[in-house]
Amino acid sequence: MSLYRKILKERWAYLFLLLPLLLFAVFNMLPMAATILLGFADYFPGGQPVWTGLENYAYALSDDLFWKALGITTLYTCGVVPASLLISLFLAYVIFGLKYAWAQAIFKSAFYLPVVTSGAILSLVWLWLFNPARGLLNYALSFVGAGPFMWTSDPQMALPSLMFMAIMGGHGAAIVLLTAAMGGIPSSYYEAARLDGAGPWRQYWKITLPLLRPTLLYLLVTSTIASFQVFTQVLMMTGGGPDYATTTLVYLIYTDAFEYFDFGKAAAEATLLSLSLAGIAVVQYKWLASDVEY
Amino acid sequence: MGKTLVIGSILLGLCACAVDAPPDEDEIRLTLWTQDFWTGITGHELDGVALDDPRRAQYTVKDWYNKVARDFKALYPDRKIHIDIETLDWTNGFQKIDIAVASGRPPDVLISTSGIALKYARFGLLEAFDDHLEEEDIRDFGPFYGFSEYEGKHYFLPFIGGNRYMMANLEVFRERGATHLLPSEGDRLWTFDQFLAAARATTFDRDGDGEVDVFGFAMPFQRNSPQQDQMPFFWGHGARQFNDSGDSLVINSEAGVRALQFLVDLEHVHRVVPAGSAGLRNNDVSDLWNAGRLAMRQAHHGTRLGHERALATGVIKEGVIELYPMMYPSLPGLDPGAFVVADSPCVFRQEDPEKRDLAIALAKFLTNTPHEREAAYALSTLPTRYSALDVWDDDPFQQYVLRVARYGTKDAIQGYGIPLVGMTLSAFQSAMSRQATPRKALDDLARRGNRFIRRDIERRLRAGAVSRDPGPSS
Repeated sequence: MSLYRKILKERWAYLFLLLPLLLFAVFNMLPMAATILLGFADYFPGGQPVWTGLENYAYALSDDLFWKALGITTLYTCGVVPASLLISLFLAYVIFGLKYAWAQAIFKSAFYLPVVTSGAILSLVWLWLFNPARGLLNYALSFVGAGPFMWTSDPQMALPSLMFMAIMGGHGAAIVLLTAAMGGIPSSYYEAARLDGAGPWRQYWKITLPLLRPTLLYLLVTSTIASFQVFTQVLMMTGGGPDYATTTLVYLIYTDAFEYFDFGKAAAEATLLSLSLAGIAVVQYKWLASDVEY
Repeated sequence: MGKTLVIGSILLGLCACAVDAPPDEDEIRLTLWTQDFWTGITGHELDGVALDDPRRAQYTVKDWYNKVARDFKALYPDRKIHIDIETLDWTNGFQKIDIAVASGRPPDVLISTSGIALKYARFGLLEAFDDHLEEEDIRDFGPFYGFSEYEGKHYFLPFIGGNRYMMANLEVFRERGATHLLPSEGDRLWTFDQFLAAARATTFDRDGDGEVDVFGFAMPFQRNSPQQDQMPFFWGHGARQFNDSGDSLVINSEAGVRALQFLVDLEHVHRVVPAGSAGLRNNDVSDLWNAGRLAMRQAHHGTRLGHERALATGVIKEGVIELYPMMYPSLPGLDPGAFVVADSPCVFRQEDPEKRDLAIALAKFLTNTPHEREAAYALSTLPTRYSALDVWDDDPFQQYVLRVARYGTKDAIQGYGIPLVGMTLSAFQSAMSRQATPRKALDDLARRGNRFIRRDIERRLRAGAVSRDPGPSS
């Protein structure tokens, strides 16, 4: 059957795919292409972009703040991603072990709630929790004689505070995916293991965890990308401060673009970030996906 | 056939949505964006009205602008003018303007802060008013008109004048028997030593639990404007943020380092400000103030109005605060310096001369003497025309506020002031949290800021938005 006939046969499918594809092209692919091009140009509001070659890249790479932001973002990711995954894994295991389906549904919904809540609203709530004078955290710690802590005001504490906030929330999607994956593991594997005398820990280590590997890989890659793109919390809670202590890469891109109107530099930084993320994702797949079957 | 009809209808509907109504060729459409300065026409319609009172729904932040737009259109009965008014909040409004400008769709007339106007003047995006004002207008605006100058031209019309000064809570000073430490003569000027003595006397443990709970002074270091809050302490030491031409940071002078050291010492040596000042925000300072736990803070033109409203709504309890305005401290023999500003209409560059003239006429109309009076009354601000000064004739408090506006400095309003806010605050935070010495913090700021300015000037030269040589700026 010729390609034309194949397309004609599936014309309705292609027609319905057309709109999402168009939207994807207009709102994702075109801006991405424009950003890459803008990285090689100087765009001045009200003017036309002027080709400047690698000047923006050279300027961005010679900016010590770029490297500081890269370091902060890496530290944030290295802290948040493994901790979040471990907590999600533990919570998913506990929830999956609940006897009643309705109980599982309640806990999954409860953990998913922050995912559907606006990041700005969550940030405001956490700002109140972190408030040095009136916040709940310092109030609670005062009962054990600790604090008060300057959670987001102290340059040493600001980034750990943001990491703490990220680790404490946002497990919903991971829990849903992990419990679904756990449900897909045939129970016969566990029965066989039990007959061979394996305890719960050994079953978890030898059966559950290896079979969750594709899901864990997916979560690792997506949460690494999300962590590298952390922005809302920084904008809402610390403004990148104090003393640049929470200036992440995406926040730096934002300030370069809209505080300094240096769109070329911002585009160069965004492209570098994308390339870094692509590189990290490739390494993660190479490292973890050697025997993963989809 | 049915399927075809359904899909055809959807496609037609999408096409219809994508096409605007045809414009009326005779109509001139102006877009006016403004910060949401006040609600209602007078700004006082809701005085004393409870927050949950349904009458509040009657008034909007567009009321006054709608009235002005109607009056403006009435001046041109033979022309079809449509004015789209959009109000911007103070949290996200600036981002909205930036995005609109970056995408090449700015409003025709924008009323925002003067720093914002100068930021766009820097890019050559604004119309200059120099050729459109009468000598009489320029004289009437007085010193405020000078603030709108950028590289020899004037890019906004002064509208809502504001300034900063210091405020003491007399109740705290009475509680400590320290009212004699406050300046009382003339413009209430004083030195840093006198200021420190007052702050020390009013920092104390009120509830006797062994912890200091009332502070002599506090100011925000996060999400604020360094020109408004920190720079007065630099100007009082004889330091400046920028050079005369505004294209180089000179804040790392010896005087600048001494000024920042003074602020650092307030927290870490004298302990008269709350610990962790580097992370304080405006609302943290207001919380302390409203609870009667702060003896002195900075104030602005609208502080008294805000105080009266806070009393009416119970945010501040009776007998907790009594306002006492005074100036910033300065070194003996030096005048203090203060942030004085005029939020202002500016006009974005227009290709159509007819539309440009109308936009400029609208900006001039917005800032005429009757409107200056209305704005000053609504917001308790400074009129920016001599001819409107009579609005506060019967008010000694506002007379004082007006009088000390003469300590305003052009250093507070420079084209690079707004772009460098983030960098400047970070340097101050760095010193306040003792991550760096004041010397290192300011040297780093100057290095980073001047690097940015040099690149910016090169970019502007390349784009043709500036015609002169950038010169040395390090």
